[in-house]
Amino acid sequence: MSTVERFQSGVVSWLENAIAVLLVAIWFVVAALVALRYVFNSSIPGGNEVVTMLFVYTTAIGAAVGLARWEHIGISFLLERLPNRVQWGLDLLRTLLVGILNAVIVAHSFTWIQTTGNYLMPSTGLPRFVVQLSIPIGCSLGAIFCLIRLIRLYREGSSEFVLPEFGRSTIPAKGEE
Amino acid sequence: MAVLLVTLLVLLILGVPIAYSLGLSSLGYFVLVHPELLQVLPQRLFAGMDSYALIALPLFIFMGHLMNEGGITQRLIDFCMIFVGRFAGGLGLVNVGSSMLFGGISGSSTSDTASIGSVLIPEMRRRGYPASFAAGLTVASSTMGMIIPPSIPMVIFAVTAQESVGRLFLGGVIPGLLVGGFQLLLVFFIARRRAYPKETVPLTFQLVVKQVLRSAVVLAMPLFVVGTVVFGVATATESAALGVGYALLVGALVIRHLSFRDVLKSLRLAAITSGKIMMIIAFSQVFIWVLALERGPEILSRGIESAGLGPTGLLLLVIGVVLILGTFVDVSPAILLLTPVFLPSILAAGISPVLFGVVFVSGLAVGACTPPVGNCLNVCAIVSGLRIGEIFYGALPFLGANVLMLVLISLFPSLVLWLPNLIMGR
Repeated sequence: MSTVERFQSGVVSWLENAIAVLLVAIWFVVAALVALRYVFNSSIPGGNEVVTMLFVYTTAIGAAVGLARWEHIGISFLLERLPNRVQWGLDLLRTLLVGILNAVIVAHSFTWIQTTGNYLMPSTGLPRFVVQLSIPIGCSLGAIFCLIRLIRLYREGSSEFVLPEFGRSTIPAKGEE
Repeated sequence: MAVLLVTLLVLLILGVPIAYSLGLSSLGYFVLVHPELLQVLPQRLFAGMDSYALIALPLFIFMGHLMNEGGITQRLIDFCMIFVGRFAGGLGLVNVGSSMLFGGISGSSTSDTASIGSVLIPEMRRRGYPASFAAGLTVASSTMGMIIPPSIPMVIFAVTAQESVGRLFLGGVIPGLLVGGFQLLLVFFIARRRAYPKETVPLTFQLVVKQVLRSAVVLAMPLFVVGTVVFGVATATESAALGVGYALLVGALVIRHLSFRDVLKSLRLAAITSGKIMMIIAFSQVFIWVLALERGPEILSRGIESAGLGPTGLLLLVIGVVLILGTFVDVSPAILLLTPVFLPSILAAGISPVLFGVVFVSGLAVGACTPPVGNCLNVCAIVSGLRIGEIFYGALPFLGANVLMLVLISLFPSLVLWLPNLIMGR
């Protein structure tokens, strides 16, 4: 495993823990909102906004982790019937296209955030950019992971290429190393 | 619009992940037709994620993982074994029965395939059932996970169509039970013809009482989760959070099978799975926005309305389209892309959106078991080590039960609407 891949593996592991913590926080706040409503006839001001914010971050980062593990849901039945070299070439192309999409989204996010990011959210009073930043953060990570994958695919060449199987990880998940 | 759809198709065939195929085809449209609108891309992507109702998704997925890790599968199988194990094809009947119960707990067909398949497929093969029968039955019976409440696709449909989650959950109960009933009958008759084995189950009153008591806490879970939504105690998101709490308590304190490590694993898996599904939903919002700009849904709706089909004809058309498209398109994007196309015509024809939702999701459940794009088939291939073609061949007769149910609910809408109207009013 190269230094870059070791770095990615470490970052992915850290991100996995981060989104696990975010999911616990979502669960806790939602459950607390129900308990407070029925037990104390009370609520957490801005609770719904906070969990929605956490959810958006969980999604954006979770999707980036999915890219690092190259586990996003796709159709592979035609690719499986192609020669190894063509599969490798198409995998390079796919990774490049997904990376470009993420990069374009990052580039255009800033104009969007500059235009609407200073509006305040109704309950928490926080500026919108606090949650909008999840998009450039998640997509930047996605673009970086695509770049690392692209370099690895190119370096390894078609001879070592194995088409990733649905639902399996190309980078081992924590505990699978 | 043609360019948009062709680009999407090409990207999907090239194996680009579904979420990013939707995003890339929209990006291509913006670059070629409306470069000034490129800023819409991050904006709509964000809008697709920024939904309180969809928070139910990761929580339901987390709940399903917790129940899986918490030793629930074996309890359900033991429970079903007592009642149906001693008939011909006992393990096949247990397979269907467990899926009916598991579907009512996890809300996901792929979870059902993975957990029940990993226990029952090897056991059925060991007892002399053909491998394709065991795997095919597991896949076909897992469709109930999407129909019997709670159901993750029903939540996605409810958010897309702005319909009540509780009504959709209740609407899925009778169709789900019908599928289960038909599949049980099919297994029974096939097993008798092919002389599949019966299991030796010592059936005593004490044993039945013991198994019922052992499983009661698990069997109460769907009633708890669905009941809180239906009776207005909690929203779908809140009910999912309560379900997570219930699953934690049952797994850790009652069954005592759930460790801290299992919880962490479930958390990570749920967050990543949810991220993948949510990206499809979010990029679908971008794609739908572009389609709407090109007046796609409007043109298609007008085309459907001008065909002059009656309500039943329209529902049968929906079933046909869903069964065909379901073989190529995954469940979440199909719901997001097709709901805006069909819903105006459905409402204009006076069809209940709840009936439409149940027909639509039930049709897509069949699609999850048909090649080339069938998530349950893929999971089963990993679990069983069989080829997708072999599994599909084994599933085919049992998927007939799903199609029969679809035709029945189209002809007799009360099968779907009776329960929600009875409990939640008209």
